[in-house]
Amino acid sequence: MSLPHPRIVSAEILRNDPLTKEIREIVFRLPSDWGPAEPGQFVQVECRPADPFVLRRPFSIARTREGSGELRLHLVFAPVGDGTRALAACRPGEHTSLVGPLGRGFRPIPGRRPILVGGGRGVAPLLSLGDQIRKTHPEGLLLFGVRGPDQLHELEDPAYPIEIATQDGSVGFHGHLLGLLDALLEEGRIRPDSDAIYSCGPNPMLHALSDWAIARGFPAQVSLETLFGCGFGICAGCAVPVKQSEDEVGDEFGHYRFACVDGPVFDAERVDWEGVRE
Amino acid sequence: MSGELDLSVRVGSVTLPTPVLVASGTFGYGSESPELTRAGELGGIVTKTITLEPRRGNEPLRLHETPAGLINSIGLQNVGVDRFREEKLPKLRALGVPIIASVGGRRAEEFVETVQRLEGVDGIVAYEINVSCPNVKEGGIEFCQRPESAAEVITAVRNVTKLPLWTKLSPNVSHIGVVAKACADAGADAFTAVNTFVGLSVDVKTRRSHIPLGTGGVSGPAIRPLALAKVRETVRATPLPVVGCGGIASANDALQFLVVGASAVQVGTASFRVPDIAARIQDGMKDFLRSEGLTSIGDLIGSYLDPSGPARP
Repeated sequence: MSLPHPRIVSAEILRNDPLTKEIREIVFRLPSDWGPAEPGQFVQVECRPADPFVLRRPFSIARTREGSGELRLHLVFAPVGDGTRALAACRPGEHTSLVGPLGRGFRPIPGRRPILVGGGRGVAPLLSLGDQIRKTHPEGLLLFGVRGPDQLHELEDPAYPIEIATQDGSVGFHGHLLGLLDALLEEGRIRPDSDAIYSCGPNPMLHALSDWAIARGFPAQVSLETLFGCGFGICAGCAVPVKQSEDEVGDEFGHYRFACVDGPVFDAERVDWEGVRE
Repeated sequence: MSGELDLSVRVGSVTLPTPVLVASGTFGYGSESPELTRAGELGGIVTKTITLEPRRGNEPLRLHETPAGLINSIGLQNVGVDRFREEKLPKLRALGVPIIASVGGRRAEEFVETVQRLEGVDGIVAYEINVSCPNVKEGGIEFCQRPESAAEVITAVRNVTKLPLWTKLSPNVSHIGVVAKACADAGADAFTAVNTFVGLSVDVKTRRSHIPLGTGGVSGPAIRPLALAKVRETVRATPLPVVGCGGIASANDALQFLVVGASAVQVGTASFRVPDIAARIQDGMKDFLRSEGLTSIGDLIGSYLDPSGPARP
């Protein structure tokens, strides 16, 4: 499938509400002919900070919803830095500039049952992945791991049954997502020969998950978190070290890929985690 | 006031359709998402610096945002001259925009061989010689740090091409005009002023630099007044044309460089934030000309009322 050209659009903010103490959801109104976006793609958002020259911030697309001649774009974010705090302060009715859809998203593997594994707000792009593949992949699981109630929120209309893991044990499985995966594997509820893992979350979690999946023979795709300069391939700032494949051996240039155009979703076994900043 | 507005400018023997170019290293190979960047409307595209061999670039993290700008440490990642010519240049040429090939190297001979491999290739109107590269013969000190080293590169490249040579000057020298004069004497045709300023940003918790190699190059609006002063100094130093560069993010910014004597400008970091900012700057220039009752952008170039007197009396 060839991806649509990214565009710069002025988008009206329809909602900007807390989902939990730490996590917010922002909803934009977009022209109906925007996209379509592939699950795992992202947008670069002008966060309207006081400093007029701050780079855009990248956000994975959580969901797009069509209706009455418009498109609604949902993003999930945590106000942790200058950009995201400024975005949190934006009010419904205001407009901001958005570039997208950008990057390469998840590539669902035909015939394999999807196991979606979301760490914290990394669960967001897995919702759109579920929306897209629920018809072709009716069976699946959605794992949602958080530290505790401050990050835990309801997931509207999920494509698959949800399993929750909390590090404080307040809800669901008590422990990390890997512990939950271990338990599911032991119970025979997930299987490396028939399932595939799609994940998004903090890089240390993705690193651990990649090692886990590779060791057990699960195909896995991970959406990396990186800093972007531009988000569309012109600045060379978002280098991701990758392991070279057979035909690239000897190609010194082959070591780095750009998260913004070659990713942000990569095959887990492709990423050279030793060189990834966590 | 009606009629056609003339944005065309000359940089030495090169005529550009507009004075707004995009700077090396801030626009990829020029052909990435051209509909997003409006690349086809620009006055010129300066490519990423091309080296003889491919360069993998520096380890991440390569960028760190600083007030009104950022520090970068990309490490001249590029595909090398052969793949540039075969894979990147055809797409870039299809945009129909003047191409300025930025060339780097670790020794003068590498600049020469890279330029030789680009000679006779359609679409390239000039070379921009990146003398901010470390010179292995001088223990890694950048060519631009010694006027004679910078001049050596220009002399060597001058011998193998008739195309104009624009020397990209570094601001991290005590007298930019001295370097400019040395390069002019060696056969340079124009200057691009300036490259990034050396900068450092530290994480106080880890006591480490935000980027692995320590210092990097600062770009963005933070450096604009610094760059503008360096451009004026360069304009005063030699009669050669200067292409101004450093923190330009609006038409007003760009016009300041033209007024102090730059024949054209390059937009860099601002494209990261607004992909088509260079084209928007051109639009803004036209608005300014109309508001001033002018018809040609050339009327503004060098119009600065310098309190220390005209550049070339």
